[in-house]
Formats: sequence, structure tokens, C-alpha cells
Amino acid sequence: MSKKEITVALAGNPNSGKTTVFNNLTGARQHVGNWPGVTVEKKEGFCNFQKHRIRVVDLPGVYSLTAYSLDEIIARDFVVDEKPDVVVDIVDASNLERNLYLTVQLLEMRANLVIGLNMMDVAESRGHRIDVKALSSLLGAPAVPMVAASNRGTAELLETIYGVATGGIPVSAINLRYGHDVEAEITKLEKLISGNSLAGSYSPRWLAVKLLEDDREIIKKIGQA
Amino acid sequence: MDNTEVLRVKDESLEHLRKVHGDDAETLIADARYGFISGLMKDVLVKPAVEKETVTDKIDRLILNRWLGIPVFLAILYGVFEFTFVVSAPLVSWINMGLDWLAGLATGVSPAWLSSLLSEGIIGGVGAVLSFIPVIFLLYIALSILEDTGYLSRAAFVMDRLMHRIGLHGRSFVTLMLGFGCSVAAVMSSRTIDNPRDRLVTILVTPLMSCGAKLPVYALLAAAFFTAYQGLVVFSMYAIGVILAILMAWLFRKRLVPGESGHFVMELPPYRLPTVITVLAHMWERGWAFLSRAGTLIFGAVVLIWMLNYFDVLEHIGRAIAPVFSAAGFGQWESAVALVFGVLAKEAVVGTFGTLLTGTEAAGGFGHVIGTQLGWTPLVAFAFMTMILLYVPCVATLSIIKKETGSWKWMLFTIAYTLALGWVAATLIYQIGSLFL
Amino acid sequence: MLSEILKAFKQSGEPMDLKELSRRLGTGRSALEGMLELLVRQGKLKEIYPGSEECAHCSGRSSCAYLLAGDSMGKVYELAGKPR
Repeated sequence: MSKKEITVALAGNPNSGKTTVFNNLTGARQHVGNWPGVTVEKKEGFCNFQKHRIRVVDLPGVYSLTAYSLDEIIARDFVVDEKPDVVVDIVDASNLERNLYLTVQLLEMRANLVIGLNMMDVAESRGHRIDVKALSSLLGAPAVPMVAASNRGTAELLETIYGVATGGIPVSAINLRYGHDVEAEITKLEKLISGNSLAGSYSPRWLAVKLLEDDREIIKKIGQA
Repeated sequence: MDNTEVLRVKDESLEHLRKVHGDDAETLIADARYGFISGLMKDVLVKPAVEKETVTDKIDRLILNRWLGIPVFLAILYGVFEFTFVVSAPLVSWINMGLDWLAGLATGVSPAWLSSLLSEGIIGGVGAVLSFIPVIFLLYIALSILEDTGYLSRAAFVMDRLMHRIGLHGRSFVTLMLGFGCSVAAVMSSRTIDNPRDRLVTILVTPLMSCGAKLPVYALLAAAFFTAYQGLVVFSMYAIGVILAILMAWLFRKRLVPGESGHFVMELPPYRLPTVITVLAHMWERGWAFLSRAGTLIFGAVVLIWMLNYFDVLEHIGRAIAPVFSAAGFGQWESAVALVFGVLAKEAVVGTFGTLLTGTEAAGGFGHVIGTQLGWTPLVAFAFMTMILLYVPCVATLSIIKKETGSWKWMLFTIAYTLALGWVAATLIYQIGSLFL
Repeated sequence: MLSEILKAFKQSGEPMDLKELSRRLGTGRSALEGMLELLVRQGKLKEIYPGSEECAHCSGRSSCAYLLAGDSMGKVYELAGKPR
């Protein structure tokens, strides 16, 4: 990888501590603007690691990646259009089940994912014990335990980001099947889509799934392609 | 490559899946994701299998208990009133003394009509309401505490669960509770109820949830006639209101066309310790809103009443109506006039008495005047309070009922049934009570 | 799972709080919240909380106890009347 700048998209649920992680990473080197054409705030910042410049883009906090809200569309479009080198998903470890819903969708999008397993202290105080290795291996993406509020785990996160960006740490696509009948329909649609010009930027399978979800934005895009 | 082809096949697929599974593909896909996550959690979350019971859960085991939940609710409600009246009593008497002193000054003012307007009209009428600023603020402190701790949502939940067991489905109690503040707000909030049948019944029954404006009446009469048991008496008014509201709702349900009824799930936020600042802030906000509204209403009403009284108009009207209430013990013209003005605004009841009855003895404060000048006994006072609790709601409420139900019919029905209910209840209480006391 | 949530709404016979619902379905609380939200977005459930749509048109907003209560009241979910 020859380019010196690594682009990192920071995703996660609202209240997952994403903003704290962003601040830990970028410190004073951040600026606020707007996402193009809308009044949603966009935060970008920089930091350095191993002589590489890392550009961190803070995506809006979302619970999933549907087309129901502007925030989700912004987050989703950024991952697809800008193709960041790494997507960091900040997950609230004390609310794992709910937070993983977004994680699973990011993996479906074939994002180069690093999971920032934040609020480990809160999880522990609730009596939860999380097998981070198992989580990583089952999801096919590296997970970094963190307590962003005390700036713990930030260095490890940067290392992992670097590892994924440079190819040192592999991220594999998970094998999520939706059941026999749904899969049959997906296969049908996939075949039709592979001819479509959109298939270049998006994975055909992902498009097929979105179509079955009646995703307004994708339907619109397919209509326009 | 044809895009319309893709979309067409998509629609076919959706149709097919809907037939086979009875659900949207979106739901099936979401379910699959959650299923995957759920399975993953089993391998990832080492312990515990079940979420640890939080402090909130422990407390809720009592508060939401199927048998103890309602008694707990009643006990807390009772405690609120006890606290309010016991603590406010000394403050109220100070204020009364201050008002008497002011009234004394006013009698010295030169044109006789001005002196009368000031001492009987303004100071008497407005003063009667102002004399329980302490009651209002204390009550709102208690309510704010209940709210901020998170108890209020439990109260609504417990009451709705009770109503469901009686066959009253839907989410009425949450909106009915607003009636404790103001019936108008409660009726407006019924818009959140989808089911038209639930909604209508809720609206009709809202006036029985004793609104804030009735509190002055209870407070003053309870202080005068039931000094030691003030809290209990006022509590009983609210309790009677709630019981009758549930009863009437059940009755109305039987007569209306049956339809689908709603079940719901409610999120109960975790308990938390309220901060002094938020409690005081809420108290101030609500208390001030209440008093400024009451004050303005009373001021206007008082001047009006005073003028009409100066010309003896009211006495004539009062004497014409009064006989209807003699069976209930309050067949005096002043009482009748008070009730009439109560239809304009419940706050006016106290203001009316304050203006029409002369002088305010310092010792017992205002309520005692009613006893001596009108010849009321505690039983009469209780019957009167019940009348106030149940009879025709204020015109603001009536007009919002007409607006929200979209017809005059229900508004008129409300007038009729509340009047009947109030009269019957007050008369029964007085008649039956007279046999024993 | 999502359809089981809807079934629970229809068949429960009484109001439930989230803890009860999660116990009945055997799902963790946090996943349940996410699912409820999804159902709201699909238009199958209606979410009522201080500040929701209905409140926007209400002229009693300034003195509304429900609104002033803020998050001490919690959200209420019920089956949506009409399909989206």
C-alpha cells in the first residue's frame, strides 16, 4: 500500500461512546462541517501512526443501515461510495445484542471491519464476561476491548486499524444465511443484478438482500442505473 | 440488465415469501440476523445467561406485584396528601392572618363601594385561593419527586393492568392521569389513543379524575371541617374519583359497540434518585403555571361576582336554584351560586364563597366562615366536595370534549351524566350520613 | 422473533413492561429494544412518548404534565392501527 493516508470511517450506535473514541483518536485535530446537501453534522479528524496519516470520519450514530432515516443513508453511502480503508464499529459491550445488529450489517456490506468493543467496564459491572476472541472469530473481524472514557484501548485500536489497512490482519466475510426460501429468492435476484451497472460498486448479494428488504434508496438507484 | 425486470421479480419474490411465511421478507431477514446474533451470544457471553437483577428490578418486584401493586399505589397517593396538608397547615394559617390584616386595612378605604370591592371582593376572593399557595407547591414537590424517581410510570402501568383485568383494554390510565392536573390537557392527550371506542370512553371519564382546580375547594373545606384528617379527606376525593372513573368506564363500555381493544407494552425507565434542583424546577414550573392561571381566573371572576352581588342579582339566581340541593345539605343560595360559577372554572368556587360571605375570621381561616354563616356540618362539607368532584366540568373541558369527539351529543351527555352522578352521590352521602351522625 | 413480538402484543391480555416481554420471549432486553424499534419503523407498532407526533399539534404543550415528565414516563408501544 503506497498511499500515505488511511481513511477510517467511525460507525456505531448512538451512545456507544463513538464520539469519545473519535476524540481520543483525533484530539484537537478535528473539524466540523456538514454532510453534502444536508444539515447533518460531519466530523473529521486526523492522527498519525507509523508514519501514516490517518483520516477519521465520524459517521452519524445509527442502529442499523436501512433507508428509513437520513442518518443511516449517509452512513451507508459513505461506506459504499468512499470505500474507506477501514470501518471501525464502536460497540457498547454492555448492550451487545443490540449493537451487533449494526455490526452484522456492516459485515454484510463487506466493510473492512474493526470492532471497538467499548464500555467493557460497564459490562463487567453488570456481571457480563465477554470472550473477545470468540467474538472476533465468529464474526471474522478483529475486536479490540476498550474503555474509551478512560482512553483505554486507543493504542491497540490504532494498531489494529493499521493492521487491517495494510492487510496484516485479515477480515473475512461472515456466512449469514437467511433461510432456505429467502436464499432461493436472493439467488434469483443476484443473477439478474449482475448485469446491472450498480454491481460494480455494490456486491450483487447485498443488492439482492436490500431489494427484498424493499429498501427505498436501492430501489431508486436501480431504477436510475 | 433491464431494471424494471429486476424490480418485477423482486415483487414476485416478496409475494411468494409472504405466502409461504406470512411475513415480509424484511422481517424474515431481520429475524435471521437476530437469530445469528443470538446464537453468537451464547458462545461469546461467558456469563451470566440471564441479566443480573438490577436495583430497579428488585424494587419493581414489590411495586409491580400483582397483589400489592394497587395497595402500594394507594398508600403512596395517601402519603402525598398527608405530607402536603400536614406540612402546609402552619403556612396556610399565616397567610390567612396576613389576608385578614389586609382586609382590615381595606375597610378603612374611603368610597364604600371601593372598600367593599377590596375587602370582600378582591382580598376575600383572590385571597382565598392565594392562601393555599403552600398546599399547591408542596403537592407539586411531592408529584415531582414521584415523577423524577420514575414511580409515575409504574403507577400508570399498575392501574392499566387493573383496568385490563376488568375488561377495559387500551391505554387509558396514562392519559387519565393527566386529568389530575387539568382535564383539558387529559382530553387532548387522548389523541394518542388509536382505538376510537377506547378514546371516547377515556374522554367521557376524564372529568371524574379530580383536576387541579378542584383542589382549592377540597383544601379549604378539609382544613376547616376535618382539620385533623385533612389529608385523608382530600385523598378520599381523589380515590372516589378514580374508582368512579373506572366504574363509569366499564359501564360505558357495555353500552358502546364492541370493537378491537388494544394491548400495549410499556417501557419502565430505571428508578433514580431525583435531584433537588430538578424537583424544585418542576415544582416551580407547575406551581407557577397553576397559580397564575388560577389567579387570573379568580380575579376576573371575583370582580364579576362582586359587581353582580352588589346589585343583588346573584341572590335571586341563587335562591331560585338552591332548593335542588337541600336534599344534599347545601341548599343555600351562596352554595348554588358557587356551583354555577364552578361551571365556568372550578377555581371560581372558592372565590365565590370568599366574595359572597362577609368577613374572614382570623382564627380558623376562611373555611370556618362557611360553617358559621351557612350552617354547614362536616357531613355537608363532604357532600359538597363530592358534588364538586363529580358534577359538570368547567366550560373549557366541555368545549374540548365537543371538539375532540366532534359532536355536541357527547358534550351534552357529559353535562347530564356528571350532573346526575354528582347530585345523586352528594344527596346519598348526606341522607345516609345523617342517619348515623 | 419479530412476529412473536407482535403475537405477544395481540395475545397478552394485559399490558406488559419490557422486562416481562423479554422474559416471555426469551430475548435479551437490549436486542428487544432494537426489534421493537424496527417494528415501529415498519409501521407495525406505534410508539408513543412525550414529544411524539400527536404532541406536536396539541396546544396544551406548555402545561402538559406528560411532556414535563420527560423521560421519567418511558415509551409506550402498541399495535399500529392502520398499515403504513
